[in-house]
Amino acid sequence: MAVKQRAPAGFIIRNGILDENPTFRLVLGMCPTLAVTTAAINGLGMGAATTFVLTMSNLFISLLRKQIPDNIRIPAFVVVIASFTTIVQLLIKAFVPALDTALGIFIPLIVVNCIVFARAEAFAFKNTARDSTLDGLGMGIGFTLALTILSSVREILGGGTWFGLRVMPAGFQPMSILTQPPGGFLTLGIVLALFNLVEKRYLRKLTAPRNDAGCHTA
Amino acid sequence: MRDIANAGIRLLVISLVAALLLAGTNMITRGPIAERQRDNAVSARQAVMPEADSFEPVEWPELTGLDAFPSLAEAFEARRGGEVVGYTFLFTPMGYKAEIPVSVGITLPDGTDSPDGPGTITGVAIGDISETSGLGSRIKEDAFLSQFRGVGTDRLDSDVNTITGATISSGAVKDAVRNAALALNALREGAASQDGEE
Repeated sequence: MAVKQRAPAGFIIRNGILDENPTFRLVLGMCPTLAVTTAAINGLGMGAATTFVLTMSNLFISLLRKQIPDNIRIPAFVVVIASFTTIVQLLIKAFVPALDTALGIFIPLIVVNCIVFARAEAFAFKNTARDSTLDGLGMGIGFTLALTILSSVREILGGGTWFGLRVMPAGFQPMSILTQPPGGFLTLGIVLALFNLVEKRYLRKLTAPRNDAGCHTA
Repeated sequence: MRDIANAGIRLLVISLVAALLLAGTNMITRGPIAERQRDNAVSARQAVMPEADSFEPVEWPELTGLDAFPSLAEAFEARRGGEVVGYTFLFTPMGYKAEIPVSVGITLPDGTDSPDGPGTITGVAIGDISETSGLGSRIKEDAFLSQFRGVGTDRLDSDVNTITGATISSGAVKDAVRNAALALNALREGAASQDGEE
């Protein structure tokens, strides 16, 4: 952080999607990850809601970072994050009722999602508003992709449908354990391993030297 | 001391701004949310009692009281052109994992002058459930729910099959329907005794 160089936008976003993917690399926010990924639409919806909260709270915390003394930063983060979570909850309730019935009880949990908190503490509190917004976006997209992949696997193999549409042949016997809690752990473990395998084999060579600024704390 | 006051004031300002933001959002969303809830409730009642065109809440303290029907959440009089054609009940019996919202519609027996005759079930609908998917979740399927349609409340046991692998969930639904029949009887008896007093 000493000599400040403006990191390119693509780099920060890519960081959240690949190098520090919240689910597959940082392994943060496991509670919503396991709980909501029973159907692809739920994963996507939860990801989108979290992305909104992450981006907005990162932006605001970054803007306020010079006004917030160190000793009250945690309560300040909580107020900012909780406000945006409540806003997104009310908006979903009012305008996307289908998502509300599917995710209703998980949305308030965004408040205690450690990804949001970790990015506030590790990134937004130390970086500019622009970088923090990009970081929130990147992390949010990474989280959304991870949840969508996990929930697609669980929905297709566990129920034979994808986004509610039947994709498996009629004779397919759904492995319904995958849509139940144990299936969440199984799927997460396998996909996590695959992600790391692919990353090791093919992506690491292409990755620019790792930038560890303000990360790896949580 | 000064630090504490400084920090307190800053936190206060942040909270104040947050509260204003939330109040604004609430003002925008309150209308649509209330409307949505009303629509949902009406469409659930409509689904189990298609022939009715309006619903009036039943004012009957004994019925919604604690003891008689602990899982009864609401009871409505279904009317068609002002005439009572039946009742809809919302029961929330305990399923395998959580409560199952079950809406039941029952018509009065054809000859209202035979007060002991069984009513006929016009429909059963299930609200949002968290039963085991693939097993208990099948109580939402039409194959199960359509069995209730047109069945007399005295023929529930013989005419409605429980789902294999979902004994508890489908049993809870059947219990709710059975309770709805009892509640209907209680309503009519209550009404009869009230008429007698007049």
